[in-house]
Amino acid sequence: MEKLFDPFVLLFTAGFSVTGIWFIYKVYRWLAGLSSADRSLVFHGVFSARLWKALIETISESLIHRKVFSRNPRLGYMHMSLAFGWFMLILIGNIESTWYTGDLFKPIYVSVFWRFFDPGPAFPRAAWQPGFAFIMDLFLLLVLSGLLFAIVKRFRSRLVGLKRTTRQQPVDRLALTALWLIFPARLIAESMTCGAHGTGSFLTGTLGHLFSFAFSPSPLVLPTWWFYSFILSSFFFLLPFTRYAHIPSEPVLIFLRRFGVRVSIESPSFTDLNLHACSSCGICLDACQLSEVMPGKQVQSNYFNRALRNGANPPHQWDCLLCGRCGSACPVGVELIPIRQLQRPDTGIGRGLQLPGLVGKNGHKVTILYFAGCMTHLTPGIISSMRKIFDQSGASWHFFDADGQNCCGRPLKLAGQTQAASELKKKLEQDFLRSGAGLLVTSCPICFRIFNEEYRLPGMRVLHHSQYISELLEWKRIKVGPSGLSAAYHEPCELGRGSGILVEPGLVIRSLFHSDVTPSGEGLCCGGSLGGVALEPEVRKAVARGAAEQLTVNHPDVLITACPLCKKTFKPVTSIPVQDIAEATAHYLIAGSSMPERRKSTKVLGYEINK
Amino acid sequence: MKTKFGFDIHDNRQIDLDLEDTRFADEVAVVVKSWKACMKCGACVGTCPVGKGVLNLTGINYQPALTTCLMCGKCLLVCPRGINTRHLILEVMNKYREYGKAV
Amino acid sequence: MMPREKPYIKSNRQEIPAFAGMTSDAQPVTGNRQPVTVRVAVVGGGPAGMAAVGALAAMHIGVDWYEKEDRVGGKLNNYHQLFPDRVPASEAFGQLVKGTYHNHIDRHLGKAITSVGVNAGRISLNGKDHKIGEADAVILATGFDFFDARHKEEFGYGIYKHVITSADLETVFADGDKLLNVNGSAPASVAFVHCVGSRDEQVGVSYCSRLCCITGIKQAIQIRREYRETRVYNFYIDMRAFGRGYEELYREAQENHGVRFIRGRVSEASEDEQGRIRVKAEDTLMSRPIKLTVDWLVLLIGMSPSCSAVLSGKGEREKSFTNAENPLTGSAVKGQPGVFLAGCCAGPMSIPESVASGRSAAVQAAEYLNKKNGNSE
Ligand SMILES: Cc1cc2nc3c(=O)[nH]c(=O)nc-3n(C[C@H](O)[C@H](O)[C@H](O)COP(=O)(O)OP(=O)(O)OC[C@H]3O[C@@H](n4cnc5c(N)ncnc54)[C@H](O)[C@@H]3O)c2cc1C
Ligand code: SF4
Ligand code: SF4
Ligand code: SF4
Ligand code: SF4
Ligand code: SF4
Repeated sequence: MEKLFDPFVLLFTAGFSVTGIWFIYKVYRWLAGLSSADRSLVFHGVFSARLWKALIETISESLIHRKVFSRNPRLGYMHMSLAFGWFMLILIGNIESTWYTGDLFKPIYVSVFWRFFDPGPAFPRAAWQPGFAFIMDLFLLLVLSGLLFAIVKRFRSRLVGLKRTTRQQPVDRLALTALWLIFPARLIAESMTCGAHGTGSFLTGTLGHLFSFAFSPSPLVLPTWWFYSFILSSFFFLLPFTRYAHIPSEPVLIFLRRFGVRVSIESPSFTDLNLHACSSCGICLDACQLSEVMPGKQVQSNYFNRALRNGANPPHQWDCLLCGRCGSACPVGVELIPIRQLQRPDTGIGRGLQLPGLVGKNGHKVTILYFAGCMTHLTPGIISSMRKIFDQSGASWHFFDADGQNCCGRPLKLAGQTQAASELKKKLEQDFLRSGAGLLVTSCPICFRIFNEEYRLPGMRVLHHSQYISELLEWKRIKVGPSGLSAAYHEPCELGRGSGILVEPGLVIRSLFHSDVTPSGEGLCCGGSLGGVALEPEVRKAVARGAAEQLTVNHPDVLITACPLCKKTFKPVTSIPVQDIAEATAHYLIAGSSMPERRKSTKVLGYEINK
Repeated sequence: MKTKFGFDIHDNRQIDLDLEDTRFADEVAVVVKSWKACMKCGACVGTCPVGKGVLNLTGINYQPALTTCLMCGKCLLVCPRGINTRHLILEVMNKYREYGKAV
Repeated sequence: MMPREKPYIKSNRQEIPAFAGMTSDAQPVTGNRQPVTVRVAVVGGGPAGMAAVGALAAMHIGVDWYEKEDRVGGKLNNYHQLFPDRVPASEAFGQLVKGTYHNHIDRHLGKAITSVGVNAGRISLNGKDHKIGEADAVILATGFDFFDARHKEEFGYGIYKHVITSADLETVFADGDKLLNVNGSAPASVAFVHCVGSRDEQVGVSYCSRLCCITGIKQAIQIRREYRETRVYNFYIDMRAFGRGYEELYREAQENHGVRFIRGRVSEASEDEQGRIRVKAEDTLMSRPIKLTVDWLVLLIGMSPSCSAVLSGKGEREKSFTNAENPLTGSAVKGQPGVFLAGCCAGPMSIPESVASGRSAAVQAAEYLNKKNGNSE
């Protein structure tokens, strides 16, 4: 057997070692930077069925890119062909070289450059050779086809179904060039070898054959392998410093996530891992409505992640609406919103608050507490509708924040003021519990989310009013008549995507209107979100206008939402009447309706269209 | 008493604008331009759950008003001049921290 | 604006004969009908329109007068007394309408003009789906629309029974109705909110409507005159009392009628169990938040432009008033030769200003026709 070595492999080996050492160091840091609670999660996870689930997820996400596929098949194909194709080339190369050498522990370069060492029937069991050559050519073709998509995407992103593509940094561009060259270089090198030896399958064989017609390939064999090795080496040298770091990082993220680790202030390394797992695929660009209204401003999560990864201050981080659209679109599952929230520094606003509204609320025993939310005080239509619904249902209820002097704490949290938020939470928790109520209904999705996720209220259910109304309808505690109108539903971010409340609003709306509304959790942001602290009002308006246009393409009679802030945001930008789900319900309540008819000449709730 | 807004408040409550130093206000206005558009109508204070509001920022130094802000954003929704109040509050707080040692 | 249900208002409505408007033949028609060669169309029958048709007829120009309602008078029809002299609106109407009974004036009531088209010196006036008429020049005097207070939901108009607008209150007075509190007796307190739908980026209106301050003063006085025990508050941002006698009326309100003026914008209103209205604001001069419970909350609504829709022909209202080509020196509409603006469709104006603006537009139209005919001959 020939010596399985040639100096050109040293280039590759050096580059690959850089990536390897970096990766081992990183994995160590990621694990070492976890809180002890998270570390024990990992420890227990390794010895559980979660390990297998993680393995399966790694294959389906890191190799096949199932989620990208389901979002965008063309983009999915591109990712899949590159990742899966490359992986198969490595795997089969390894099998082939092991098959022939019988040595499992040979240096990596042997299998990478196997075609160089074994151009043709030199080794025993040569009969298998054409089979291997065929399979290898097949996967090489797969990768090359993916590469074609990648090149098209870079220059004409719309052709692969993306409106925008990530703007690259110089080092990323360098690595990208190397990546693009890897497979053509491999094709040329292999074809040269096959040409010189008259071997190879349909791709390398044919090309080699053509080469040998034009010139004598033998003297070019070694230079082309040198080139291939050089390109590979450059790519691996650059990998740790570019977005391609996601290739080894993503599986680590998948495993730790499966073990139950989540982004938190206690485990900063997990944030770092999340950032490294971001592939800069750019799917979040199109998900973000700010791409439309603030073109050129790099607010979106891929830029945010990159800046943080590079240790820079993320640009425009206070513009982000924290709407969560990018987070739910991200195929890697990077925990974008929690990471963003942790990046907002706590300046100490709101600490040590003595809210006057918290005094004197105790000892009021009722079954239901109604917490309108501070914003709802600016949309009194919602409050008066809820009053009517409560009264009609015969419930014993208490209007907790009738004086409008309370706050749930979530706005503080969205602005990064975590400490003050938790102080507020503790106070309010006590007050809620002291009322003895079994049910807390709120009209504000922002309040609902924090009550639901973070408040500890043993023995008390927390419902958003859309859920409460849906229950009342189901139990026949209230009855509504059909309006005979059509409606579109705007899902408030905090309610739909944020809290997963999708079924109930759909039920209520379908019982009122003849539109088949099925909330999906993929709703648009109205632009009013309290997350976008720095957003100027004109930009908010532009987001709102865009969202309203999309929501009302079918010219519904009314636009229904379930959030005072969304309602306030939409009202000035659309000519279609905007109503809260509670208002619509109250308006079509049957029997003993105490609401006066407001206006004639109206279709809905007395709101004529832009009179 | 010298305020962080650069005014000088005498014991008799008179504001001495001759000694005014607008650096602080100008720096904040670079970030939140709309700050200067405040017409001191008081709507923000009226709607504020804690009775503070942004108006207290635009006149003379009144730091306690800021520290109890809930960031609820109601003032943002009622301000007739469309001032980005929450951003303003955050920015002023950031500047305070910066100036905390310097001034 | 649709008539509002007024649950706690004691109705005392009577037909006021002077308001029967143009349908009455009470007035003698003046002026001999002479053969006229040119005709001007005036769109709108409010004070500005009335002044314009009167002036045109006096200059022996034939007029086609279009009004979408079935009587002329515009907003004046629903007012009670006018500031600053508290002249009854019917009296001002009487003075203005006199000049419109002229042989050269053809009235077209119930005709809404939705667009005008300028074509080779002739101007066509179009209704919703058909042409209504033609003219050599047009004066647009379509006035203003009351700001729809439901766009400021935080004040609860259309939600709380005890929140009304200044226009509603004007009708209450004009109809001789009474404002009562929830128990059926005189209200203990009334608050006025200034700048509702004016000077407010939240509703996309940047301008000052100019007349709501003085309307608030006028109406506050009116309430104090009718109910001596009622406390009246006016919440203002800036007090803009600019016209003849306005500042004096302001002082009178304070001195003789004890109206409390508080510098601070009301930010929200809520309803208590009895249906009274609780308002929140700040006394900005005291730097203290205020809360106050009143029997009635009156929103001093601003003026919204009305003629941008006619001029664009697309039925789209803009949020700013249409600017004349040379707003300092005339009211000709840019790009539409022969079209002139009069009255509140060019910007917020008082009645005397609207009248002057109507007459001025008439003169400009006459000048335009002279020049055009002179040139073509
Ligand atoms: C609450 C309130 C109180 C006021 N009180 C006083 C006061 O006391 N004293 C005072 O000086 N000023 C007062 N004003 C101002 C006064 O109302 C205006 O100055 C005056 O009405 C302007 O007259 P105008 O003719 O321009 O418009 P308008 O009075 O609005 O008249 C416009 C007319 O045009 C008609 N029209 C509109 N569109 C069309 C169309 N497309 N086709 C045909 N016809 C059309 C309308 O039906 C209407 O009759 C008050 C304003 C308000 C808001
Ligand atoms: S955050 Fe997610 S969607 Fe955005 S670029 Fe990174 S991997 Fe893609
Ligand atoms: S959270 Fe929303 S606004 Fe922020 S980057 Fe993601 S999609 Fe854009
Ligand atoms: S954001 Fe702060 S200042 Fe503004 S209303 Fe809320 S608590 Fe008051
Ligand atoms: S509401 Fe706006 S304009 Fe009015 S005082 Fe507050 S910040 Fe200034
Ligand atoms: S006139 Fe007075 S109430 Fe009206 S918009 Fe101007 S300042 Fe406001």
